[in-house]
Amino acid sequence: MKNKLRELRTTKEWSQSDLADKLGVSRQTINAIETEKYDPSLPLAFKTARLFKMKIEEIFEADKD
Amino acid sequence: MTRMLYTIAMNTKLSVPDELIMFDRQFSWRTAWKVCRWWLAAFVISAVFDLVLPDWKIHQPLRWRVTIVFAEFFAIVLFVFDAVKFIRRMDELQRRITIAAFFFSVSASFFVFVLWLRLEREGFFNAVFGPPFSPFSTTTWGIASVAHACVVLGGFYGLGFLIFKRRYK
Repeated sequence: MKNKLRELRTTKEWSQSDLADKLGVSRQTINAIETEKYDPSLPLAFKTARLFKMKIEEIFEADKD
Repeated sequence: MTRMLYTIAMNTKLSVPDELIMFDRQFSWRTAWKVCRWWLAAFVISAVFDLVLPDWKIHQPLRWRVTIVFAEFFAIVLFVFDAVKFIRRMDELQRRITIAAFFFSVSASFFVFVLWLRLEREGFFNAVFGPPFSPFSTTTWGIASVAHACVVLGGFYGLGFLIFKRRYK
């Protein structure tokens, strides 16, 4: 799953640790999501969308296949 | 109420599974002690009575031997409670890695124990390495004790954790 998390985070000038603290997860999780090695759970995706005041589909894009 | 629970959850420090992995730079004796103290207790009880003093143990009344067995397993149950508490405080990715490492550890240990015990029963180790040396007692090449299980499971958990952690790096 593709996502714009890194882009959004750098726009806000947050470090991965800052974002991790705001979402209540570890920095490793943020890194894994940004590098698209891990797809977040639905609650975490909602929390992320709420934090950036966006819709989930504006941040996360499902693969076509 | 929901808000309170949410706030409590947010204020709780996340568990860091790396703090349990010896040789990792994040290893913490404090966390390892909090989570693994009953694991260590089970290991020590089993090591003392099954490895160091098996000849002494076998001559004790049945009630004492049964008490020792239950003490080992009671310690394991207490360890499971501490481990579950620790896992519940992890974030979702770390929980996934830990659970994958746990299943890896159980599967690999099962495989090793079955293979080892079959080979031991066929006399493989005695034929290749001779009788095992122990300063304490007459021993066998068998590894059917809680102490052995603790070491094998722990070793494979560490290995599994490192393997699965690399996948998300």
